[in-house]
Amino acid sequence: MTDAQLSEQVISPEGDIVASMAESFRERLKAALGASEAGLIIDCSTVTMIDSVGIGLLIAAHNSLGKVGGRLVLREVSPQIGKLLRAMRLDKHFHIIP
Amino acid sequence: MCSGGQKQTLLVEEIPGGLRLKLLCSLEAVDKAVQAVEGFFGNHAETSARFGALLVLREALMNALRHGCGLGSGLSVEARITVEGKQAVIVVTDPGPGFDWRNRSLSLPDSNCTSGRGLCIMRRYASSMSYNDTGNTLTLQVDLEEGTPQ
Repeated sequence: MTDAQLSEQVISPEGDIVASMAESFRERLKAALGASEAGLIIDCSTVTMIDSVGIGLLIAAHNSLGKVGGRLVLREVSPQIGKLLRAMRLDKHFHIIP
Repeated sequence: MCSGGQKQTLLVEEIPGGLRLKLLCSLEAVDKAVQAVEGFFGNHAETSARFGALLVLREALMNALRHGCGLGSGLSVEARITVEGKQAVIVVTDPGPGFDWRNRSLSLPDSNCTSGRGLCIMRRYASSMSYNDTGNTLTLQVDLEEGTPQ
């Protein structure tokens, strides 16, 4: 396994994680998941909104990582998005860093 | 006031106490609609409450487009957003045949499930949520004061 495959990939979404960007974001996630089995960090510092489609994308990424022992980390999550993920009972599912 | 992109994906009209929107069934129209309402909410809601109201609006529009319209169909969805006291009232109507909302579960799907959270999200953030008999008009009330979700 290469060093790249052993280290976590970092993705910074271009704006909010919502339905209109789902297709392009899905491709970016696929590429990142292919590059690393260690895990994926999603930098949410510019994300002000996640909708149910966006949540689905994150869960799909988490499920894929889980199969190879990797983890999904959401970094710099806003308080509002943190509350949403807790309301959806996903705060134990993802590793969330405020 | 009317505005829209090159393809007129969104028409926005000011009405007493709010906005009336007409969206062509596209994801682009949903983004534009949420943006228009965000500007309107700016003076009416705290940050956390605004987040909840906009999320509810987004989910309601997405459901209407997907299930009552069909993305890319050329049909349109209408929405009416007003502020009444300390609440936003959101009414979304689609041209579809409706659905059997009385038998639709509002409980959270399994954590590994990648879909099926739209109705749950709306139910969590809205203080009230109701459909007309047919199921093609959804009315939601969302508190515009801090303290959401419900």
